[in-house]
Amino acid sequence: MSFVDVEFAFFFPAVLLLYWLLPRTRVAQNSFLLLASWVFYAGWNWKLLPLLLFGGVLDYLIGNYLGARPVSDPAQRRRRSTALAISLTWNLGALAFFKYVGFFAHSFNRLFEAAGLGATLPELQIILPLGISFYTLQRIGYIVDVYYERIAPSRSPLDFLLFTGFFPQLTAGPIARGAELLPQLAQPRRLQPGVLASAAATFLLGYMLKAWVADSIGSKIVDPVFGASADYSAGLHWLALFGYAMQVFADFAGYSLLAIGTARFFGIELPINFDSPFLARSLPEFWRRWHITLNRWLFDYIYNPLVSGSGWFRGRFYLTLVLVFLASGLWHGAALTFISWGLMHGIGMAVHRGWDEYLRRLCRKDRKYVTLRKSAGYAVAAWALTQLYFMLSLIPFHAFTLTEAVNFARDLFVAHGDRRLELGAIPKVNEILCVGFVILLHVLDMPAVRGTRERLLRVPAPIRGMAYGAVIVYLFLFVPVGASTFIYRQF
Amino acid sequence: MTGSWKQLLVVALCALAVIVGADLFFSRVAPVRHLREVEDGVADLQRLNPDTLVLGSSHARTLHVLGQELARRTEGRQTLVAVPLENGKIVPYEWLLEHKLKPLVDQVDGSGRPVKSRLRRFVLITEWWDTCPQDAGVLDWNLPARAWTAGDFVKDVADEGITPFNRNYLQNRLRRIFNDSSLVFDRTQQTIVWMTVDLLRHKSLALSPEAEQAKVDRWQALVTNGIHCIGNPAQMQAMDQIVKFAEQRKLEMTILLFPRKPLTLTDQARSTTLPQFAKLMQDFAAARGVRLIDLTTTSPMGDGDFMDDFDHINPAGNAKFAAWALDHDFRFLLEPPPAPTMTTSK
Repeated sequence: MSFVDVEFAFFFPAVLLLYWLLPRTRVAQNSFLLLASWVFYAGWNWKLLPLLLFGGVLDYLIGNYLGARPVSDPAQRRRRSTALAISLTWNLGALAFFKYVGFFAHSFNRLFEAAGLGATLPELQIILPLGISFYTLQRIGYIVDVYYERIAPSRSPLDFLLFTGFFPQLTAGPIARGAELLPQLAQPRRLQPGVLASAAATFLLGYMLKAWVADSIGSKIVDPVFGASADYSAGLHWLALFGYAMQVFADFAGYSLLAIGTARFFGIELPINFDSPFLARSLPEFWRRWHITLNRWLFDYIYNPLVSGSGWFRGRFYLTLVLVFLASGLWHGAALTFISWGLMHGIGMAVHRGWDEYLRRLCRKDRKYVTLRKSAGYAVAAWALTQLYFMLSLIPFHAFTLTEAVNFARDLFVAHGDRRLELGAIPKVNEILCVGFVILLHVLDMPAVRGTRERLLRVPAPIRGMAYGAVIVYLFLFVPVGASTFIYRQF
Repeated sequence: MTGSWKQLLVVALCALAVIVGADLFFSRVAPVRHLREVEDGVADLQRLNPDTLVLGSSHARTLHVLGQELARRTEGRQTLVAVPLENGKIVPYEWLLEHKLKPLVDQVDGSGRPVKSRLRRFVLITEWWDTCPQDAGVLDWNLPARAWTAGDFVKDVADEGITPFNRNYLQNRLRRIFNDSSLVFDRTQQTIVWMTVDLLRHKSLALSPEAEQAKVDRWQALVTNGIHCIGNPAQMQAMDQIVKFAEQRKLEMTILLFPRKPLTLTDQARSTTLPQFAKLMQDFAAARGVRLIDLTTTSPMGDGDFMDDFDHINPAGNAKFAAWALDHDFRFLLEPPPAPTMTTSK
């Protein structure tokens, strides 16, 4: 079940209504939400629900085990390390098994074949448990935070199981921290009109991005060209690549907003996951705006501990950047294409760091470089380069094989197919509106325009209501039945 | 940001007013056409005691009109219930028969007598498309889901999880909740936008000549290429089960090959797909002793008798078909069958 599937239209209103009819106590609310989350997950595959539960129970017990043994006590150091290792082994082991065993077996078999060894590993077809990539990271983050005593362990198994399996974020994030979510779950929630209104607006915005923008651009522009790229011109390849950037953003940002809006309906705040990434003027800024919760996880739990720890990686910023983004690529999928994507961004981040250090040295020597760095021309060039680099990185992200990626990249410059996109006048207008909408969202987030956004949000209630109604009518007309699967759900 | 309940209510009511207003406007532009669906057929079979049961795809709606003509001509002495299962395919027909129609057909009263005591005939409407493999695609049309109960849905979800297949049950339920909403119905039709634009431009809904030709080409290709998929074993096995259903209940069975729009049939289709399918069905019917009526190209249905979708017969065409069929190949319906049931191939 996802937010745009028809079953959600039955599930969500019933759950929401019953939730707010319950006694306003933490136990009642959390118990109900936990049950609803299990039903939500079971709707996909009830047989893998025990996997989710077992991991949650294990980490609950380990969290409390760690909490009972303070880090200041040297006698507990080994026990604490062992407990942490058990949690990490289970979480990472389950993730590795379900997600990567097939890929590594396939890769090793290809290597064996190339070496003429003939030995083969079994290539099992394993179902990827829904959301495992997301809830695993969330649980690891919690355990590590408890280990370092950044947060106290949750004393309530009910709260903790809900933390690890809250249905709005269960399948594709946002990845929340214990410090963000557990305190909210420890308190009963009250129904407030402002929060309800904000939840509805956020949900509607997410639906527009996912079901309208992402699906329209995907079906009309991206899929036709990527599906038969030899038939299309180089220009249409660029258009499809641009469209794919819009699609991936709208799909995932839309999903995140749907998750945030859904959670907000229950009085629970999830962290934001996207912050107008197409305004970014550097790769580091881009990754502070795109899939924010994943990247902060990677930097807080992998990058920073490595480069500031006492191990071999201490001070090795460039290499660690590459490794972190390789991990990100692998997290996205067990395929060479995703690894290539991660490598591109790791190298890009390392190059940017080097450039930034170089430019800072120049700025310290001569003020003209400070002026250059602050100039509009530099900002525009930096923005264009950043966005272009991100777009090009989507080539391996979309491709099934490296060959396909290379061919598409080549076709950006040499393709001379003469097939046109089959877009009538009205679909064309719809596509332009989709792109315009994404641009508008970003423009409204620019500091210079933020005042306009605030004024728009303060228009009188009847006008706001009529605007929402018009948007919903438009969605009825232009969003087809059965929206496609979220792109990030497959991770 | 809305800060009070009053403001929230105003926003919600204004939004609702716009949506309802738009729905009312669009219902004049593109009125909802409530077509006879499978649940209507099942409900009729539950309620009535017909002489003839008809099962088919959406084309069974034509036989519903024939049933009305039949009842008129015989002054109610011979009645027919047609159960249309949108999108067809024999496997879904067999599912529907087994799970929804058979319990009604086999129902007995307190004294052990069959409730559907008059049922003597069974007509299966089919065409080449029905014997092609089940569609695979995003929506995975599951039109038996329109005849499902909640129990059927829950069982399927327990077995398979929620899938595009069983999701159709919920799609249908949602549509039934908003039965008169043109906005809800249009999500599967996508005609409101075009009809509104044409209304504003004071132009007719007619396609451009190029678009019209492209539509013809698509249909012709569909039928011509049907040669590659007809006779799917799973579909034929289901048809066998359907015949057994009729045999076990001593029902006089007829298989009708439904008329096709002449414009959709190329010379190649007339020499490959259609005759090959006809032979398949002739052999099948002969082997099982059921009547076969092949009206694919032999009925008086012309291009003008079909709707713009190129597939279904329009209301005037239905009336024409009903009148003609009862004067010709279906005149046997006017009288009850002799007992015991005699069946012949045609």
